[in-house]
Amino acid sequence: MIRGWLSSRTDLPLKGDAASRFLPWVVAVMVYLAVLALAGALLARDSVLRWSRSLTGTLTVQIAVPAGERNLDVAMADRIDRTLELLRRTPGIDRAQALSADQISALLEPWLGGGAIVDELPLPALIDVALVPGARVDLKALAERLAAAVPGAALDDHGKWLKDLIRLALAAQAAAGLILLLVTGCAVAAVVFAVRTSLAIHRDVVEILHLVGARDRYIASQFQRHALALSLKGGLSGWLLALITLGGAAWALLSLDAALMPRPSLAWLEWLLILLPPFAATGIAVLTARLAVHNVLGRMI
Amino acid sequence: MSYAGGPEIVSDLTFQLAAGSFHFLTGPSGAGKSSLLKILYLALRPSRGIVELFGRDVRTLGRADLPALRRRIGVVFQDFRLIPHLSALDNVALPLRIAGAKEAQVREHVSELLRWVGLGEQMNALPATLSGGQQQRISIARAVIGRPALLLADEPTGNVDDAIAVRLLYLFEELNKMGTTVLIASHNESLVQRFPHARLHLEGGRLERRTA
Repeated sequence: MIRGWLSSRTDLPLKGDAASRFLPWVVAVMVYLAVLALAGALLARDSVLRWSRSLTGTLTVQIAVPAGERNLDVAMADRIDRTLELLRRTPGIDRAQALSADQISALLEPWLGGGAIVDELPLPALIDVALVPGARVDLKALAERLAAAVPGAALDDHGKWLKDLIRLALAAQAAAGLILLLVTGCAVAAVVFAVRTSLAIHRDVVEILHLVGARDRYIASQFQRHALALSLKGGLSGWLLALITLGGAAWALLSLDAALMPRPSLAWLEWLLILLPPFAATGIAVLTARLAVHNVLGRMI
Repeated sequence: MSYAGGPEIVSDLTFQLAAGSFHFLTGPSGAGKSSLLKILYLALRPSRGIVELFGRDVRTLGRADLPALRRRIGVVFQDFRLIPHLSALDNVALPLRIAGAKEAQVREHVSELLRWVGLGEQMNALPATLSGGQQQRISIARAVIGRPALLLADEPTGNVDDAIAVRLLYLFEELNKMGTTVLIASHNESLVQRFPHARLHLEGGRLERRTA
């Protein structure tokens, strides 16, 4: 039915119009940018959510290597024990566990590489703390108590790191929103320009149609059909190109062996959003064409 | 009536076309016949005065009211005003399609009419490939295909030979017998005299009604 509607006879020779020849290209570029911006915003949001989810309810206690100690291993073991004891006595803490040297080395390996360098560095001890779900722990008081009880112990609730990440993700989302807004504005301007030029070129035909009784909506529908066909063609091309680009970027990201790089993945609902731009662009083009035609025709007798 | 605030082309004309009547509009070139017709087929609005069409004062009509009135008016333009990229059939079919007629009926009626005006073989031809006379006949066929209540023709026989001109005027008479009000602007005196219809003569800005 849509195919029939698209290919149906038109009274206005819009197909060969120089004014609208560039429209599919403009829409393709707009949709391409929109899909990339949208995907970027969704991935940024998902990464923050994932990080936030994995860090909520966990704390890390870091114990610095004491300076000037003759027997370093014994001193560190003593500090770790005291810290663990204090933590386990604190209400609201479910589990506190010191990370082994191997675990700490594994955490640093992506940055420093494995082997001798890590072993030779005076690395601080790390204690992974899990809170009882829903428990309210006074982190400030706990940090003070830790610092007082164990020299060199510092509590990290990941809040600052997470806050920075959320700010980054929000900035990415705002940039994506701005890009979408600009892209929409450009698409609207392109359609308005094409429609106005077409109307100027075919003014004679439009006048004849009016004189034989055509209503504005009859004429507008021909422009709408034309805008629909062109923008759908351009939109789907831009969308396909954007998917190829995203696929390439995902492949490149997956082949990177970086611990903090987010694994690019989208939920099915987000895929639906990614599917939207070509159709949204088509809808905007059709609506814009309709409004532009009515606007121009409204000034004719 | 004046163009862009210029001098008045026609003014202070008072006349009425009774429903079902047949009139010729005569007068020398530049007398304002085409301007008068343009006002009647709603391509121009009068700068002053009252024009009533089908009992409605055109001054009070909004843009949205015009298409319905225009569909009741068939117009033969002096310069044909055919749509160049549409075939003869599609040009003639225009008023029916705009009115939402069924495609099967459109093709049947248009084909029949085109055959009647002698263009049965040129149905799929584009206007540019046809002679002036053939284009004029397409223009006439387009004007009458919707059986309008009012037919306005601006020099409809200007590009055809006498035999075709007479045949076309018979077509207008047939339409008139079915109730269409007809007003034909023509300077072809011999043709006008062959048909015994009332005449509106426009000259020097004055309109004179002459009976046949």
